Amino acid sequence: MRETAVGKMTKPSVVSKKKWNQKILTPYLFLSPFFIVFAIFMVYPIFESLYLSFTSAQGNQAEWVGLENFKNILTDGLFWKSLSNVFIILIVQVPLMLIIGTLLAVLLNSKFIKGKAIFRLFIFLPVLIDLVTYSIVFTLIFNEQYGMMNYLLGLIHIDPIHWFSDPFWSKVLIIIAVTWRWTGYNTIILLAGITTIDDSLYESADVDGANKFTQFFKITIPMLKPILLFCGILSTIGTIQLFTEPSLLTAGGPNNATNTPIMYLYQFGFQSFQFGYASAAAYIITIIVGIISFFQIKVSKGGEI
Amino acid sequence: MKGPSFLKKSAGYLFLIIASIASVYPFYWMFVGSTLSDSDIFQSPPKLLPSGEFMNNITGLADSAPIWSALGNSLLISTIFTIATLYLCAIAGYAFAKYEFKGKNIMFVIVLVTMMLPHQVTLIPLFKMIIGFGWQDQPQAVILPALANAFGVFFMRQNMMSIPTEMIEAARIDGASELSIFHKIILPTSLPPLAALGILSFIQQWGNYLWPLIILQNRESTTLPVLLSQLVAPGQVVYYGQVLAGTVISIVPVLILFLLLQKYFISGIYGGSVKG
Amino acid sequence: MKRLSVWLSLLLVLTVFLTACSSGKDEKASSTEGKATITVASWNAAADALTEQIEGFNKKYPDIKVEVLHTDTGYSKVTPALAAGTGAPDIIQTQARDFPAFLQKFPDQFVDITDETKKYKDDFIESSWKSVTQDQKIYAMPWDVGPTALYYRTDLFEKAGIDVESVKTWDDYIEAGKKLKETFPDTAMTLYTDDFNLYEIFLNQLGGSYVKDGKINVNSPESEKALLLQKKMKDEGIAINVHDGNGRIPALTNDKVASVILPVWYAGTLSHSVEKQAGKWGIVPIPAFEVGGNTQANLGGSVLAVSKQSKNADAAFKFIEYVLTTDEGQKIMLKYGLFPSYTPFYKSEAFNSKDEYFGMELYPFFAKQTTTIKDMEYGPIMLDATKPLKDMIDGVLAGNDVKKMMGTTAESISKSTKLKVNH
Repeated sequence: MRETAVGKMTKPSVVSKKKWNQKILTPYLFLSPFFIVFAIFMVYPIFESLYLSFTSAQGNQAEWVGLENFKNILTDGLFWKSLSNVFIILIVQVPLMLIIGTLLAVLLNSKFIKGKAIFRLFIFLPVLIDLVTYSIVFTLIFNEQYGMMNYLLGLIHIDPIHWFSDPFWSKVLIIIAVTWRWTGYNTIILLAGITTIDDSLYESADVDGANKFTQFFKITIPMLKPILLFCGILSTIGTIQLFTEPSLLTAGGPNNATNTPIMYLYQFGFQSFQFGYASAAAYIITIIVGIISFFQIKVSKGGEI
Repeated sequence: MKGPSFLKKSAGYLFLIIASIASVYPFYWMFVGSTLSDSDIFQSPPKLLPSGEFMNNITGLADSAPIWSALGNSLLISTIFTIATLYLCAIAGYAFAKYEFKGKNIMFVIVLVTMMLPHQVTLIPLFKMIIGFGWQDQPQAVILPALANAFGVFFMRQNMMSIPTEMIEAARIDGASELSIFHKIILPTSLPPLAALGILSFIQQWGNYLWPLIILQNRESTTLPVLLSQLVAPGQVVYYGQVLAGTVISIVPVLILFLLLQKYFISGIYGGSVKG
Repeated sequence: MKRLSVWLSLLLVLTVFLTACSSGKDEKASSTEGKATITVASWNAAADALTEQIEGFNKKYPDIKVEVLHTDTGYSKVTPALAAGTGAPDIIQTQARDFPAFLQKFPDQFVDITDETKKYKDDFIESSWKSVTQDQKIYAMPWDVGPTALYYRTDLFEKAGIDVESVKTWDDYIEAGKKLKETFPDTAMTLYTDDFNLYEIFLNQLGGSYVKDGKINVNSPESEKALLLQKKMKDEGIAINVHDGNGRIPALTNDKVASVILPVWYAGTLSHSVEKQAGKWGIVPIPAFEVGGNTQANLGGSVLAVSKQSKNADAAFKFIEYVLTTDEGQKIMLKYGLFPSYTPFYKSEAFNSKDEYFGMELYPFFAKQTTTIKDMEYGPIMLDATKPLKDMIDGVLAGNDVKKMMGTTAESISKSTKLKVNH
């Protein structure tokens, strides 16, 4: 589809030279305001911290140490543990959230649901939670001794669950909390995508006699693919960079069962001020996220990233 | 056209209702808590009905912390940021989605990669730079760095990819300039994603914590969430009722914005413009 | 050309906006010239207390303008400035235990105040000078200390038939906790949080140190004893984990916990957050490890240091001097629950007043709990050791071998601080 536009723009014989120059320049001009800000406030600091990652920068002292930080991180069991934690959380949490999010978005776009405005608002709310309330409410609900969740489970004869002191259940707790907070956010993104799907597609499918189920898989999902991929990549990045939930709810425990790479980085960067080491950790995390995102894009070929 | 069966409809409603209750409960708790005195907030079983302490809590909070100026700062910073980032991201996203040009792929990959980098590590270089500019305590110290919003560009590009190129071609044949195509056709067509990005950007900036904490040193120039978070910390008396009242105030602007913008989530805007 | 001009004007608007903002700043700076302005970075109640001090201070020093910057307890606000070598406040608050690490990580960032503080040497609790001294030089002024006590519910103890007088040792305390359970099955004797506070209290009570003779000492016999005590409390079911400070309040409000082992500053939280339990709380010294043993320990406390980046270091010290070594200054501190390490203030009237909530003279009681507090050497490791120490406690509570956990913790602290481990 794009070829038509390109074809048009690269035919200087059709348009005057001045106009042609403008056509070539246009995308760059369109990108320039963003890229000026981007270069100053993002690219430059990134290069400076890249330099730091090869130094022993600690406090206000720094010395070139080459790859030592990278070596130390990659041989630290705690780093690998935190990485495996987020992978376990990722594999369960991201698909779970995207499935719930897509279902909610479709329902919120459905003609047969009344009171959509209020449902939309309710479902979007969690992302607005402030960290104080978030931490208090979740700690109260999931308290092992007297929390509401264990009380409710008791009513259906399930033994109290050790949400905070069992390595397995603490991960489950983190998955629940992250899903709670971010599903609405993804639902809104997906909903914005769904609303741009042309209604006539569904109308003709109705005429062809396709049921809603078929329409969902034959129209909604394919049309949503770029947005789903967007949400998938975003959530993957978000989960690998998970920080808020484990630091608020479990403090990375018990016994590092919910520790994450960013908590690891934060501990070195902002608790012990080893900026060089923390920067190196950041680049390792970036490379890992990059590889995973690359495969996500490859696997979902046709998503056109 | 026949609607879904009663059973399917009920299942849909049930799902929405459960999701809504789970979503709303902590907010309801927060709201009720903001109307209670501190010794009642943590009663078990929790109090379910609001009481009359809200105004007391708010006045108490306003006495101990400059919440109104913080609210003003938050509004100023988040609003300017949102408007600016919408425009920057829309036009950059459009360039990425609908033009072919040299260096496009590499530029886009660079944007993507910065999203994957934990931004905590850029804080110190950024701090040096901003101090060098003499911008500490100034709103632009928070607004400008946030405009390097890779997420927004990526988001707009993904959404604009589904705009049919024929529409743009038709306008070109009619002699419209590239910029006016963007302003008159692309922006109106992209209202739903723009509305979504507007809300997401606003809340992202509203809740932005670490950077404003570092760079807005003076209490009069700080933002509301940063101010509130400082009122709950280990080793001191926490006035929970006041803090919760503050958080209630803090979500009101975002709720209003959501209610204003959510009409753009209505199906068919885009379809209409194609048919029209 | 038209498009280009649009962009140029856009850039122009941006530039104008930026210069407008930054020039506004310049004006503000020049208008206060001729008057020394000092900024103080402090957190929470401490920052509130300092803010209230400004009025009194300006009566004495009308030419020094003071601005208090509210920070978080994690130092996020001051560290970028110290690391960048620019933009730091004039006065910086740190926790007493973190200060040696600050001196190590940011050498040349704090003003030597040895001469200025000489005359106050005997006015402060002796152990409070330890963490602000490096190579016989003093780099900060001790502010508050955290003498620790056992706060207990008199009504619950009575109903369960526990006589607090008979709880002499931690073993007695654990037994009392079991007895409590017989009457109140849903109530635990005490609580702890996801940190190493309880461990540090026990360690200090035993006279242990994190660092000894310049070597990491977390694998000491005292450390082992402290860890085993917390583990025993958890295993016997008398101590529950409430996660953090916010988690303490619901546990206390709903009678899920009958006592807490915390420093003086917790008195303020009790009387505010569980106001309804007024008159139901008593305070006694903490139990000893063995009969007749030490019943005092310190947790927390902070210091004030002058930054080398300060252009008004003298004015900054004058402020510190005023707030920490005068009765007017300390009176305000006490109002915010900051227990002074400046002892002449203990004779003042404000210090000796009766507390309504507890029905006793609160501060004189805590003053008595500072007399045998053992010196504790934190060493320059506390910023690096936070996470390893937490892991150590987590590991021990989860049932891992204590000696092994202490060993790996010492090694991991050693790896990041390059200090040797004591064997």
